[in-house]
Amino acid sequence: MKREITLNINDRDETLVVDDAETLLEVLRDRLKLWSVRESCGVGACGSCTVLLDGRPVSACLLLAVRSTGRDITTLEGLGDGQLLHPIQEAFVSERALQCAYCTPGFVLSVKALLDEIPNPSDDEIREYLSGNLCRCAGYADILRAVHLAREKISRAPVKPE
Amino acid sequence: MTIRSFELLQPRSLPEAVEMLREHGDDARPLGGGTTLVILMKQRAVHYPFLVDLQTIPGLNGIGQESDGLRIGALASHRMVELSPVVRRLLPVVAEAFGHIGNVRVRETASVGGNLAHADYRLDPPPPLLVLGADIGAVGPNGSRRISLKNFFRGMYETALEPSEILVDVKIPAPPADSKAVYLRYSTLSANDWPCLGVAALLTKENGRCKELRLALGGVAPTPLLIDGLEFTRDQSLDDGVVDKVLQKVEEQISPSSDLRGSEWYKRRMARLFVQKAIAQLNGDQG
Amino acid sequence: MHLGLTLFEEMVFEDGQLVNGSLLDYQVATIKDMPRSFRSVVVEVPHADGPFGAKGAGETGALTVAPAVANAIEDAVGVRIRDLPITPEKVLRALAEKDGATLPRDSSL
Repeated sequence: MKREITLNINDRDETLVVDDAETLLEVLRDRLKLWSVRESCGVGACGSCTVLLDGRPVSACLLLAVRSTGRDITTLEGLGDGQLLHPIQEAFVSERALQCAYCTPGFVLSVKALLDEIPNPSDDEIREYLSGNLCRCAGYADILRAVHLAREKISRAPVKPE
Repeated sequence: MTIRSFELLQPRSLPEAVEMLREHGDDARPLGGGTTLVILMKQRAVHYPFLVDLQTIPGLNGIGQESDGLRIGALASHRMVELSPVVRRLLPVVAEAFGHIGNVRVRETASVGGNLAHADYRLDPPPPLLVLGADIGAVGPNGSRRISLKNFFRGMYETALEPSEILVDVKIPAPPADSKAVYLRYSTLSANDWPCLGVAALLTKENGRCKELRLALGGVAPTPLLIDGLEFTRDQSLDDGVVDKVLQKVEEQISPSSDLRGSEWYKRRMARLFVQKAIAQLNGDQG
Repeated sequence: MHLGLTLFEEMVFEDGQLVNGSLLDYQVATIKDMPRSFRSVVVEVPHADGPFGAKGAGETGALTVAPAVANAIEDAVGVRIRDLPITPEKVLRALAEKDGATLPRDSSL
């Protein structure tokens, strides 16, 4: 069935007609052209389609778009301000925590949720939280370093560009 | 669009949801967190013209302490259970088991009721819930009833729920005084994989001897399995001879099948090993 | 770093049908599987025919992970596993067979 819904995405309301069977991933990527939201495994295992729903990480490929109304949806496009990178993105760049970069938006959003929930995570907590984001270019060691750098950047600059 | 078109019905109350399920019969299914059902629909392994959204019914996701134990609403997410201060304080083994599922995103989305109603033989929560003597609440066209978890799992992906019946909560009684529980899970592949097997044990001791031992295993039978016939351990000290008899009971009752996560031979070896480990851990703990 | 291929990754076929065709069943290494510390040592051997001794970059260097793990297992428990992935079951079987046990074979392995 088709219906008109309003989704709050990156602090903007988007009203569109969707089918009940459309996933949030399909709406964000195919309809709204938010290219940072990427499909890979399609079964919630890889983290490429990670978005934040009321600040919590979820797989957009497993959600029906019509059930995401009334929630705050954040994609990578909602971090930073279009000019400046978010401190987590800066940290990924300076630690070179990416190679092909397909997994990067998902990792950055997972790290955002992690640091919002646990501002000073241990290595074990980082590993646990990020274990559902897969990187195929063997970048885990660099990503781990990037998380620590991001944590330092955020704690040094309490007012962060959002 | 990957999923075949369907209509999402959004009831405001349980009776309304039950009526929707009754009206559409086999054409409808309840939708909890949706993690499993959405995957199956995307793979086109299943199709239902109607899905009944349980998230629009208020009050199904509460977690609270009651006079006789703990009640977890069916729509509580795995993550809510994992992080719930009251669950962690009263039944840490339950919080831990829900924290093992998939990854943090799946746990944010998947619901407790969906997990149990899916009746996957290898999921982590059922073994600890079985040793703790949990039961589930169901509401259907003929009213509401409670089903002990032991009688809930009927076969691979089969439960005791009747058509149009909705799982609404799980209740876990307060564990016996002087008891301790443990859940050990073992993965043979990556850290986030389903377990090859999981073993939950609950031991109550009195004067240094076993008062009651309960064991439940996941991944080694078509359903999560509560081991029968352990009454002989009462008033025994859990020495090697007694543990051997316990292992014999386990061996008789499990029926693992070979798959990607191990052969039958291997799973039988690991079941023995992890039951031994679990008992040793509980027995040693209380010295 | 090749750890996934060493420990987990295998396409399993039954009657011509791939049975682990999604990331739920085909397991790759996660950040939790990464060793707590690892050190890479680059041994420079110039290629005879490459310009300035150059050879293909990238995954060539990763090929050493599987032998390193296999060597470590042999050093620790005295059995050598010669096919990937090196699963716990393969190690246990090799140990049991070394002790003279005859084990049931399984088609899915």
